[in-house]
Amino acid sequence: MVFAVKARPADRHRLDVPQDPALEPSPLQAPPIAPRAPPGLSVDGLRAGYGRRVVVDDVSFAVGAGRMTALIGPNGSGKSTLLAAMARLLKPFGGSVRLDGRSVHEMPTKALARALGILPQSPLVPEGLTAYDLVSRGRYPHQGFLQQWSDADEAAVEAAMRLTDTLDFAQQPVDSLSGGQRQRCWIAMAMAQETRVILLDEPTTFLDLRYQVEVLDLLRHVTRAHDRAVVVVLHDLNLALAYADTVVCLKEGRIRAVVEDGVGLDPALIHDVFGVEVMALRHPQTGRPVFVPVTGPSEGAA
Amino acid sequence: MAPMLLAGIALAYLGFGARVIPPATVIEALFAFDPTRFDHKVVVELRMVRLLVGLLAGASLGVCGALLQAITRNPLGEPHVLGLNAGAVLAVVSSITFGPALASGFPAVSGPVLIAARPVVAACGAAAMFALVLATASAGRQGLTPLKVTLCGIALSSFAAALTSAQLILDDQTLATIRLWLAGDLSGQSYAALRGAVPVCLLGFGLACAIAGRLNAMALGDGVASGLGVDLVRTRWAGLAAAGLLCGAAVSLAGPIGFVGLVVPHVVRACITRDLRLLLPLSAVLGACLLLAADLAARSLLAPRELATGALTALVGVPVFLALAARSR
Repeated sequence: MVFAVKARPADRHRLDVPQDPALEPSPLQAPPIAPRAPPGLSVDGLRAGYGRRVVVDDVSFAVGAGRMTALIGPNGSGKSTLLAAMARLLKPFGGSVRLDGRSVHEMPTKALARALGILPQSPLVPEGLTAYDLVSRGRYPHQGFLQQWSDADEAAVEAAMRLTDTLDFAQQPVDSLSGGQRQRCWIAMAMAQETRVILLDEPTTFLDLRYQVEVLDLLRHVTRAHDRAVVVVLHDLNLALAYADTVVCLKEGRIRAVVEDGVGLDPALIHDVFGVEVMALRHPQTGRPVFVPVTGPSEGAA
Repeated sequence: MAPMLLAGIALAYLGFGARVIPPATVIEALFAFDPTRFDHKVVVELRMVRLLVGLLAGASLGVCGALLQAITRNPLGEPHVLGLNAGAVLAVVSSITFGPALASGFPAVSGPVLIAARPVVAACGAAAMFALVLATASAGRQGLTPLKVTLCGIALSSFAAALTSAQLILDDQTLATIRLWLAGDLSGQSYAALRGAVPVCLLGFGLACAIAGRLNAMALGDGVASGLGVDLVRTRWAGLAAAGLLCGAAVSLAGPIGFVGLVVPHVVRACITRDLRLLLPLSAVLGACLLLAADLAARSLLAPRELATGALTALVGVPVFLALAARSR
């Protein structure tokens, strides 16, 4: 980790001694960036959209390692657009997305792909492709033209499949698997890419509740145990609150609120973002808020 | 196993014909050529050229088909269906019609140079046609869908074929010299033509292999591929160039032969692998096998008369095309 080295005061002092620049190791030689950008992914004043239409505007937030961030908001609020711009699938009109201080839109594509992974909303499964082959394709950014498949690739694929519990059907075609199994394969592919940051666009859509919970449990495990920064677009407000450390609420392409550990989220805010009347309950297990819609005018008024 | 199959077919190919030559004599002719023996002369001087033409054209078509299916994510992707063949033919016919007139100002550009340049001309025609097909198919809100690519390919094929016919109607002499070639045929080629086509084919094949890994990633969708660090635009351009070169090499030698590029990648995918890094070379070997087998059948079914090879591959390929079209989502 370059940053751990840079931050140590002892190393900083050594830098002050004038030396032949050509002999210096490059990570230590880099001139101090002022003010230092925080490690992790940071979005600053981002403005993005399609064609000439601006979909998200003035969005700023930061994502740290070991934390799970959920993007929520009504349909058309710009969640997916924001995620696509963060993963440089979309060129922003303005603002910046920085990974450890470097703009992701200026990094070489393959180098970025070793640090930041994206799972888009509806990826394609080629007919008959086995789960193992699918996960293996996540190793593409680690392979060169001459070095096609290494032991490290093998180990990464196996570790990712073990973690996501997909080894049992490794040799089965992905298009023959259930929705939950298939989604786990995709997450395994993203894991095999071995990136510090993983972005996922609605990984739970079209899944039964059981599989939604399964996928989110897996993502939380990945975040905690492997110290990844995970950003996930979610549809379900309560699942987002239950699993994410940080919830970013989007409304009409702008950030309406950033909620840490469910603190400060109240029915008024939900009404403002989603346009529905809700009541707040408390999750008996986590103590975080749970929101249920006020049903019908007659009961709701009571 | 595939190379052995190819060797067996090649041996049979050299042996069969108007005069049947036993395999032992064929091998003898190849390794201990005796110019005084008539059988040896038939094998080396007559059938060998045709064999090499078939090998090169078949391999190019197989790889080109695999490449097109990967780039367009279309199971029906194939140089004939997507208009590359028609584009290459149009370019070659135009170069025959207008080439001498254009070249008259440059004494250095004479007949042999025009023939040597034919694979390059064909490659440019194929690539330009494919670019046009992709551009028209990408227009509209849905972007590039397999159905639109197929329809645009067929429509623009007909358009190119019309332009080709118009030139040929006005110029009987050209028609007479290339009529057999127009139907797709391996006969009547020389080592000179082969020498022109080999570098074009190799360049196309090398380019195709260089982007195989990226195309594997692109099979998972554009978003996933970008996320894996694949430069989509550059890969598509490289793929277009490779497909053009391969198709150009094949068409310049054997005329527009359809369906080899369609059938071969499907067979490889169903039986062996979906990994393009392996699928491309295997498609080359199997494409050569299929074209040689088809040509062998074309030569022997109605012997002593010959069918056009392209007619025979269509006979095998069209049912496969229909089955795939019915099955595709």
